[in-house]
Amino acid sequence: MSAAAMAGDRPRVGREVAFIGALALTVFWLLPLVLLAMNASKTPEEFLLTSGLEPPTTFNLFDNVARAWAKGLSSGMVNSLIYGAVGSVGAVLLSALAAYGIVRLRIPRGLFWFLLIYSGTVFPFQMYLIPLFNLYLDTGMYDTRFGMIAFYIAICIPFCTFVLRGFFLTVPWQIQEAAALDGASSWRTFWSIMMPLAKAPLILLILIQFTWIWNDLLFGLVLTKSNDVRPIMVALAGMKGVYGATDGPSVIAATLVGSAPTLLLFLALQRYFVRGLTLGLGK
Amino acid sequence: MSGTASAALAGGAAATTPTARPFSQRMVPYLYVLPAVAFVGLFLLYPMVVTLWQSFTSFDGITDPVFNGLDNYVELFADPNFLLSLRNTLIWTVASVIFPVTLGLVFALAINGIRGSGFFKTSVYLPATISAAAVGILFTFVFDPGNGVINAFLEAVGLGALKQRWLFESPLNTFAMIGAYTWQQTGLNMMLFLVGLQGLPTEPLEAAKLDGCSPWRLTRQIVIPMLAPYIVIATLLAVVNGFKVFDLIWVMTQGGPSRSSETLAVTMYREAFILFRLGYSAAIAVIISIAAIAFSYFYMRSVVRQETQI
Amino acid sequence: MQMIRKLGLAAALAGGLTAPALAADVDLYHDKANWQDAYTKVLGEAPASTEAVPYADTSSYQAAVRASLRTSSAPGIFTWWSGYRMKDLVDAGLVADVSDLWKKYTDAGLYSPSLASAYTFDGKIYGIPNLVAYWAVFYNKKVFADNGIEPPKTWEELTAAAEKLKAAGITPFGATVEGRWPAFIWFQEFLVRQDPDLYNRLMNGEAKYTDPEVEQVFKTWKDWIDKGYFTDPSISFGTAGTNAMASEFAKGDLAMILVGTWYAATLQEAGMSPDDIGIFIMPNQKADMGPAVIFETGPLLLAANSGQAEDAMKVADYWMSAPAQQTWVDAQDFPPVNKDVKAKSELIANLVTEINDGGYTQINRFWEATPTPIAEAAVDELGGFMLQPDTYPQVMENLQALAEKTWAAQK
Repeated sequence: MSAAAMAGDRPRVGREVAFIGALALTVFWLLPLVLLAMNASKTPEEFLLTSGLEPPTTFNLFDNVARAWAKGLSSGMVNSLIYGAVGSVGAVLLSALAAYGIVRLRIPRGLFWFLLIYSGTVFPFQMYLIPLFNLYLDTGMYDTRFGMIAFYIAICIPFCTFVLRGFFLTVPWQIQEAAALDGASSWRTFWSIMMPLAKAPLILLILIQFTWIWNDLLFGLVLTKSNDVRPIMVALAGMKGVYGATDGPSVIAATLVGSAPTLLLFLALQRYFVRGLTLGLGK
Repeated sequence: MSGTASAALAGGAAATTPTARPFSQRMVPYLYVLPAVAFVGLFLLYPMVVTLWQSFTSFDGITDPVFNGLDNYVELFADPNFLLSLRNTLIWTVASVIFPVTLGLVFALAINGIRGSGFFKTSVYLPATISAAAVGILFTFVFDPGNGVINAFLEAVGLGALKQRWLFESPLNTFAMIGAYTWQQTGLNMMLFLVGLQGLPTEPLEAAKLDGCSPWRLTRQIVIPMLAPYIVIATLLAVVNGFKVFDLIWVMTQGGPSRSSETLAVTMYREAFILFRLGYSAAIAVIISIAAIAFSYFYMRSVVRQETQI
Repeated sequence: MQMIRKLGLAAALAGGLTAPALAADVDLYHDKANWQDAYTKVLGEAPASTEAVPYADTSSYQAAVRASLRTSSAPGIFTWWSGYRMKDLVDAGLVADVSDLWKKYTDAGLYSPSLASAYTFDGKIYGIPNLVAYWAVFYNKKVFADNGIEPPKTWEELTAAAEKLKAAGITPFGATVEGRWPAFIWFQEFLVRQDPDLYNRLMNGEAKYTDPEVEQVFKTWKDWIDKGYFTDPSISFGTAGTNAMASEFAKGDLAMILVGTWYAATLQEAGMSPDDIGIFIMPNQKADMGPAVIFETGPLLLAANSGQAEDAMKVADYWMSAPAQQTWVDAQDFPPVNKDVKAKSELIANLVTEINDGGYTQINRFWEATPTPIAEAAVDELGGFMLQPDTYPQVMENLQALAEKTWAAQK
């Protein structure tokens, strides 16, 4: 509204210039991705012999992807799909419950509990690596899907709690008191009232956390070893290397394919992105 | 301060129910909160404590740890590589606030409300959906001195003299990587600011326009100040994330050449996973955490202050 | 909300339905993803069912193995690095003694005892050979032929060849810092070519990085850099996915690459046919020094605490036998270590014959011949030198400082 009003006041020429400027900027911005796609379509020999700027002479994208697929890309994608879906939904659910308990049920010393949960995000991730690694080895969670899902849920909780707490703070108390007067339990109130209200931030969070889990490299590297458990970024990392032959286009094609799901997910859920941010930031 | 705030909230709750609540009812909020706390406690807080303890030992992973007090910390501050790493980390933190946040703001202001803004929004945000490692691979390619996009382009337009060994000279390599990082992070900040812009109240803006305020002045003196809370959030997120950058640097330069582009996170990884000095690496981790906490503290203070003023 | 709940449940079920893979009797861990197929082929005929497990990244591989070695869930067999890189594992008692296994094969005359030197500590042998590679110079036969150059047998012929190539607009030698570790390649070569004894003393801390002989090495190296004999050290070498060095070689813009023999596969991927690739060992600076070649040997180690230890020993025995080695060599084109095994390509076969018949002293490469803290930090310093050759006095000081620190800590 206000934005459109602002834009509508620009003179016609100014608007056209702005549009062309934005278009040029966007083309420039997307150039690296275009180059990626071009080089992913070359044959390995062509890739080694031509400059990165030259377009491919033949279209080999699917061959390159097929080779990568067999080398671990397929299992990587399956694993990451599971981790992303279960991890993000699990984290969002647990965070919603916690935020509800802190804000709406007014747990005593609520700020302490919130900060306790939030402190999980303040430390650099690498700090968790070795102790977690040893913990997983000791408890048999090393190289298991269960272990990976549990970790991903844990690491997504702090940010989700942060956003949902902000959201729940904006919900008017009358709604909750009305439900209480109707005899609804806290559980019923949570599921029938709070969660539907929170739909946009919930979906936003699922999107963001799915993307984070999907893109994780470090924890996948350290906590897994076998193909059945390994997430996709780790599978990609395993395709590069000096010992033995390198297959550049295959790696790049795999990178593109590996990036596609998060891209597509964003495109599908975009409208929740802005709405969710708005509601989640609470003002 | 924060204590009185939550006491006020709790006191408020108690005031609405005339009698003391039964134990089972008082337990209910804890049941909601406990699962999240359990996960965070086991998988995030426990490793933190272990790392803190390990920072006071000398440990190589295959023999038992040996307690050595503050030796690791003393050694850290005397090590020129650590100080260089610290400098780079500060550069990263400052730059990751300035570039992605400012650029995000500029894009948000430019794209807001114009024709086809949906397309532009999506395009600028796209890089944020791919992984840091993928961005690293891509930009290593872009910055390749022999074959890469940038040098080839400079050559093609006759600016061949400006060609550089982008990733091999310090501090140029750090800035090159910051460029890659900016490409990825700008979209997120832009989205944040677009949300802010769309939530702005119309009356002050209309009033200013009626007074004959030029769009440029309008933006600078009214819109941007009104976006202040969003700028704060974006800055905080940028700072905390700037500290943690690892994948990108590891893929592009491994902290080299000659460790010139290492940041604290990279140094920590290197000491742990290449030199197997786990105690020393834990000490670095503790220092990173202290710095990140310090920055976050100021934000949390302002947020909590805002909320308790409701 | 209902939809989210359903999605979550469905995904949780899918996640739970993961039947663990059938556990093999022996696990072989390694960090060379490109060799997975070769391992699988060789291990298919092993006496106990063995599964090769590729790790994606070298540093997390090392951390994972090191952490597991104290427990019984350690892998039966794992690839590692020789010399100082395995010494700390041996000292901690985490690696099985395989001296008896070696004795069986050396008594039968199938293996040369000197091959085990890099795995020997206190008279006992702790590893079996996973890979042996010689570090020699690959050259583009066509480029040599076009410029009338023969593989050089003396240092003078080598520098003359370089001059000729330079004049023809072709870069003589490849050198890179990409990936950090390649910075030691030319350092070790110049050292050995000047004086192998100096190299050994330096690796063991008996010589200093600031000694005048070492300064001479840097001067020679800098001289070559100044004369333009090397590619720009920022050239890509495969770590990040592109391999400009190989492609320049294939295109004929680069004539020679000093690297391990395993690089032959990469060159062929770049489009070189095996007939166009030649190899020669770098000549010594002074003709009267005995012939020497730098080699690299990666061992397979057996974890002492592993629950799979017994079966692992059987698989190790099989690994060293001729049938297994022949399959391995055929898959990888490595120099054969078992005397009953034939090299796959003529290129390698000729090289191995020359080394064996020519009485070459075999010298373990820098990466394993000197303690790890020195090796790791040195490549950073040497990389800095390669990018800025004028800094060599400072580089020498820095190298000596960290060497002293490391040797002192070892006491």
